[in-house]
Amino acid sequence: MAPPPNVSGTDWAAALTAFRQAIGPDDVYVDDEDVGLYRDAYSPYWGESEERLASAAVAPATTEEVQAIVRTAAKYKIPLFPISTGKNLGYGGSAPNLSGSVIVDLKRMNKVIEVDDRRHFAIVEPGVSYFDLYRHIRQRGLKVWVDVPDPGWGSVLGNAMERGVGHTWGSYRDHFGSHCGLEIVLPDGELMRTGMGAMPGSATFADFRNNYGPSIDGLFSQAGFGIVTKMGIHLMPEPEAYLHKQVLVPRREDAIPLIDIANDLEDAGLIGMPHYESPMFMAQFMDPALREIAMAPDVWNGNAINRYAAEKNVAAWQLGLSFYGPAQVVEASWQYARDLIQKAIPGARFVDVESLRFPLDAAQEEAVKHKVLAGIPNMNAFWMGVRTPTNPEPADGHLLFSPMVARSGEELFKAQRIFTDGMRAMKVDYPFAYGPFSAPFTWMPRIFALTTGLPVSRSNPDVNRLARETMRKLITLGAEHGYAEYRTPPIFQDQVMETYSFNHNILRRFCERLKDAIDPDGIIAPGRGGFWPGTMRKDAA
Amino acid sequence: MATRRTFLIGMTASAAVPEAALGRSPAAMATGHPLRLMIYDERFAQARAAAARARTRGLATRAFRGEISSLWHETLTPALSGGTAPLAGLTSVGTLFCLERMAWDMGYRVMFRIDHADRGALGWRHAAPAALPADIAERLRPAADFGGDAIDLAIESASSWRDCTHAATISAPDLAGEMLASWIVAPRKAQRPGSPGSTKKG
Repeated sequence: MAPPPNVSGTDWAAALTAFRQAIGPDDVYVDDEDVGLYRDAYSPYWGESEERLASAAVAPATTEEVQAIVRTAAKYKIPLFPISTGKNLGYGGSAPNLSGSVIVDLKRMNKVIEVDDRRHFAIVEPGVSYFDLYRHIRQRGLKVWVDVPDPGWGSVLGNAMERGVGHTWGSYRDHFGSHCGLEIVLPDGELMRTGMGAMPGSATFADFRNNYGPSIDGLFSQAGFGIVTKMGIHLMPEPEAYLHKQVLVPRREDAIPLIDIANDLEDAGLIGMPHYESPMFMAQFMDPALREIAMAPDVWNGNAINRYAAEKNVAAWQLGLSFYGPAQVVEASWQYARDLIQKAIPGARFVDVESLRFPLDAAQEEAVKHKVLAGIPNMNAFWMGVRTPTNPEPADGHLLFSPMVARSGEELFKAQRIFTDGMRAMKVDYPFAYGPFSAPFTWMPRIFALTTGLPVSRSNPDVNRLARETMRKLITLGAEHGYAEYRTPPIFQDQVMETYSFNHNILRRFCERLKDAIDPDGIIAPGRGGFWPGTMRKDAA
Repeated sequence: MATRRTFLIGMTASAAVPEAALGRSPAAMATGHPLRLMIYDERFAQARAAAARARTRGLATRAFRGEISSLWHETLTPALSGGTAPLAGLTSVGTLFCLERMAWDMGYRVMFRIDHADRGALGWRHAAPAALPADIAERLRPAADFGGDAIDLAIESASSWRDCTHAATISAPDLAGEMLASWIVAPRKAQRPGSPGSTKKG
């Protein structure tokens, strides 16, 4: 593996010795076979010289050991790249922004420090996965839910710091937004706490996030200003009941009132994550006539889609509505939603999908249809997206392009067309990317993510070259139309940050000023978030 | 002349193996520990056949359907926690991707895999990663009933087990179904401290 950049062999050897003294020799990894496990399985540069690779990895077990590692790294100017459980597939995995960085693997710091089901929070270390926290709660019969991403093997803390997202109610599925209090090892090894944890003796670390003075927690999310070693997170009280209904609407333009109603319901706290899909998306791969409609230049007026929908009795759109709360309340909320939709959208149909009462026993839990909507972590994501007759040549992984789109039907249609036409202009044919049936993801409250995956390969560099080129063009295309990305793999972070160009990129320049002040040698994840310390910037002398 | 293929066919016809014989199994000779457990995705006929064959060899088998997290937490984590016992399986490649990464945390690696692509009327194509002998996948027939032979091959090839970490799935533009894999997950280095795998979850 590549050694750290600009570090002499003598200093590198001394640093490794110091790492071993700090945490023990068994948890300092230098063999290629071990360090290779930290490669990004979805790297679009797999096996090429530009692939981002670590030089070594260390796995501390305590905050004090993290401090010792950071102090050693600062002494020898060795860049570190902290990971929690290191999943983050599609957004970089566990690979660093800067090749030669030392991975600080925090998976041994896996204590669930506290779960309170009366004040509804947890405090966790970085190595606690969603599975771990869920099982901790279940084994103790605690009355709280964890909002879980898809899949559930990631770190609760790491996912929040990456601005990961989930699937249940309101703010809980904004995982960074749900965090409450951080403990951080700074680039010089000093330990800091934010929020109420900044006051010794405070019992409200995970209750209230706002310390007096500036709120600085965001500096440790998608950025390299420190290594987070502890985090509080708000949890959802276990509801009495969960109700999932499906709404089917017959015409393409019905998405406009449907989205408006779902926005009202969600922002009023009556529903959880609205789940949009078009039954025509998968159907187009089974019926050549529908695929032809989807590819026709005049598809955007909706006429052909509506005719097909009427002839085949297929819905143009479907919306899953999730209700959480007391049984009587969720039923009343559903009736209210149903009335609104019936009045606004002629021909709307309604399907009962699932009704649950909690707690569930193990068999009931296993039978839940869409587990993440009920806060149950799982690995379904890996068998829903594998090779099938409708997906005959999927790849070894994917890059995720995730532009943010305003929550309205008109804006959805506009973005669909921009990205579909854009990919055709690029002469790129990824059948699953965009088109008139691409539905918005609603993982985050108050915004749509019109996410698509670009295939990558561990055996075909041509596939990766096309994915990289397409990704770069999509980022540029999105920015031209005001669509910003919320998250991106390391190799695209500089480009994405560049698109936030208001006032000559003052956002990036401000981050650079902070980096120069707090971490001038780039000890913690240089380049993460798309900004670098002065010594590593492209314009550095 | 006896070939590995005829040997495998002979093994296919073998009766149940007594528990005591597991200690002399190829797995035991390769890793110092007998192979006792095989998992399979019961959605696939080939996986069910592989499990039936594994049982005739004296292995315990555990079924799941597509999603492995319950099996991982309830069965595999305790079974692998000693960091010594190999594990066999016939699953989708998606499941193997997950399992491989979860097993890394316990000091295990994929030490053998053959990917199986259903090409419809063209029959099944079998392919092994570069780390394994070049001809090893050719020992499986293109007919759909390869499941039992695949698990035999995985077990009996213990002397060829090599670290297959990061293997790419095979290219199969004529794929007619879900890509499967028969595999062995085993400790890469017996009782070796100092690998990321030694950072066990508590």
